[in-house]
Parts: sequence; C-alpha cells; structure tokens
Amino acid sequence: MPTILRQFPFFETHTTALAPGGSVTVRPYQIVVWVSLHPMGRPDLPPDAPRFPAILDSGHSHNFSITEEHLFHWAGFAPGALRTLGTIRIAGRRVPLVAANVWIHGNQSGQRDVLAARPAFCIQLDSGIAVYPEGIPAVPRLPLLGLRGLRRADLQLHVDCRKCRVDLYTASPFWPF
Amino acid sequence: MRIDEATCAYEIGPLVARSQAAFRRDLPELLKTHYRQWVAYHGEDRIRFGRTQFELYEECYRRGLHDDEFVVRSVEPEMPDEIDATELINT
Repeated sequence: MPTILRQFPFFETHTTALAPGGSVTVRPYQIVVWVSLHPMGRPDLPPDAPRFPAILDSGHSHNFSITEEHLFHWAGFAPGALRTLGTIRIAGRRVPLVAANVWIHGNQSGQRDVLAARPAFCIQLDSGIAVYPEGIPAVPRLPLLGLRGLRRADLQLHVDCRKCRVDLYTASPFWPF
Repeated sequence: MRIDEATCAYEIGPLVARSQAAFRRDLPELLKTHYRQWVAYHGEDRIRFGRTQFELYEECYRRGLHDDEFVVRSVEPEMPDEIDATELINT
C-alpha cells in the first residue's frame, strides 16, 4: 500500500515548525502534517504550491479548518479567490465553506519536517474547507485536518503511541487520480 | 446571497445554491443507492455519478459549465451545520 506518512513523529514536548513567514509552536502530542491547498477539480498540484503545517486532529468533526489570515499568508489564496459552496455556523456566526482540496505531503521516514520527493496525496473533500474570517470568536490557532476527509479518501491511520510515530497510507495499491 | 458583513468576500452563486439544494433534496435516497459515490449537480439537474471528484469536474467542464454553475458532492451524510467551538480551543 502506498504510504503517505512513514514513521512520522510527534513529540512529548513543545516544538516549533517553520511556517511561511515564521515559526509556530507545536504543542506536545500534536501531530502536525504538511499540507497545501488547491482549488477543487484541479488534479495537479503545482510544484511551487505553498506548504504549511496543519494539525491532524481526530477530534475535529469537519474536513479542514483554517483562518482567513492563514489561507492568505500560508496557502496563498485571497478572500474570495476560492468559490463558496456553503456555510457552517460557529458560536452563532456564519463561516464559509470554500472549494479547495487538501494535499498532504509525504515525509522522509522518521522526520517530521523533512518532506519526501514523492508527489503529495490529494484528499478530495466533500463540501470544501471552512475559512474563519476575522471577528469569529473561536478560531483554530493552526489549521486543523479532521478525520472526515481521511475517511472520504479511505486512508488508514496508524498511531504508535509507544514510539510516538504515525503512519498514514492508502487502502488501494495506487492513488486514484 | 451574502453570508454577513464580515464575510462579504464569500458570496454563494445562485446556481451553486440551487445545485446544493437539489443534492440535499435527493440525498436521503442517494444514500440508499449510491453511497460514497461522487455526484455532480447543475441546478436541479443531476449530471451523473462518478468514482472521483476530479472525474466529475472534468465532465462538467467538458459540458461547458463554469465553476459557479455546478457542485460535485460525495454521497454521504452531510457535515453538521454547526461546529462546536470547543473543538477549536487549545489547538
């Protein structure tokens, strides 16, 4: 089975990850993966697509959540650049869902922040990603990747809590795009 | 249709809204017959089912549709309309 993340580490202490524009704090036990965003329906991720960290959060009930600021400064999309598919509500406010897919970059085995040369894997998302504009009372500190998208892509996630390592792989012997 | 003043950059196109409404109307039946397949809607019209999202986007473009004229959805239970703010705390 093609592997996306190989022996991908997480840590018991605070660490930092280099995001576009500076480093960010990664809290203990947070699994931070490297992703890019690209408009839905586009099967080829440009090689220069910005890569940024996102927390793989099994407690997040949506596909992917990101602030408008990170969408612009990290992912490279201005507000309104991605078409709006709908909305969700948070704390009584409307949050737009926009038409983007998440691409996960593979790692070099055992390394969190050193990416592999193999192509990124596209999670074809239903309903798009949630973008939190300024003024929303609760926003994700870092982008969040929930299990819903991994389920849609039939991915298999293995967390080895003894070794603090994660493997993520596809169920099928080839990537279907 | 505009979401609110704070999100005025995010306008939902009328055909996208109609396509979403048609999908939601059909979803209960589709869950019985086409679970986890992808499906494309252009307004009230269901274009066709497919194995991947990319395949259906390609089909919509082949038919001359623009991005703001269709949706491609997965036949599965919809995401909840409201997100629990506590999910975002301490991230």
